[in-house]
Amino acid sequence: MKIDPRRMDKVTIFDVSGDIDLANSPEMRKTLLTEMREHKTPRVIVNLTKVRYIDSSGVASLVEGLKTSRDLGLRFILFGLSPAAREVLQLSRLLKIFEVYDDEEHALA
Amino acid sequence: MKKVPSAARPTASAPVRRASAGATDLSLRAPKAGERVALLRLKFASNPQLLGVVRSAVCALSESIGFSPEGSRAVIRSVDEALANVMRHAYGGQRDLPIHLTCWSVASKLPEGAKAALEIVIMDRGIPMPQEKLHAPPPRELRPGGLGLEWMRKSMDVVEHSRKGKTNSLRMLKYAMQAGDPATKEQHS
Repeated sequence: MKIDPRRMDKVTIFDVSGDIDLANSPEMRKTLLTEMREHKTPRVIVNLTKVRYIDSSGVASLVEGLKTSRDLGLRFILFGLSPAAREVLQLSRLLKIFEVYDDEEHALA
Repeated sequence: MKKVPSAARPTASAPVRRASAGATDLSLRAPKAGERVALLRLKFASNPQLLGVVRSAVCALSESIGFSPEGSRAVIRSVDEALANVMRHAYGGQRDLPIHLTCWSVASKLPEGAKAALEIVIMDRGIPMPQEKLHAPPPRELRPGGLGLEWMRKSMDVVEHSRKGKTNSLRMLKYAMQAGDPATKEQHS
């Protein structure tokens, strides 16, 4: 798993790639939360286009990201969900809780 | 010329079967009615870095015996969540303790519309899952944690935890349906 932040004016996009599982979700969680707390960019976007698999610890990290964004008054957005990622958010009834878009253009609009 | 022993020569009545990793070979070994055939046995350490290796093996196996991509994903996430629970809770994060995983192809008591079934048994020698967690309702509020068991229950047709002596055993079963596999049990009905 790789996670790289792209900082733009009032937006940070995290490009995530690979599988997110127990081995690396703590790294994703730390990167997301640190970025939000330190930079407080008004809009935080997570690009999941290149994520083939995400487990419950990865989803838990996204939930923590969402809760932190609410605490800090930021928007937390996901885009590019693979079928596997969409299924697990549906299983957890979280798909409607997150702000989700198909692609980066719509996430930035 | 090297002489081939007569017992090893192919004959019309007993053709030689060569081992291969392809789907055809697995279908040759598919069980007859009432049979249960072990297709894959893995013994590995409780190191989360190995989860991807196991997911790849289970993915290839489930697709080979006829699961759709949706059904295969349901099997993979259930195995992955079960193993993560063993690593995190049963073994408390220790990375060098043994986990056994066996995948069986099952052809007994298939429900109407099912073409195959995959049974997975995961065994460890760690702390047993607390009963209150096993029977806990799915989390209702927005909070991290507690999702894995719910996903397993929703993704598989059977999920059974047991303990014999010092060994924890998790048995999971999923049917591959003729009309395609739902990603979750709710989509069956």
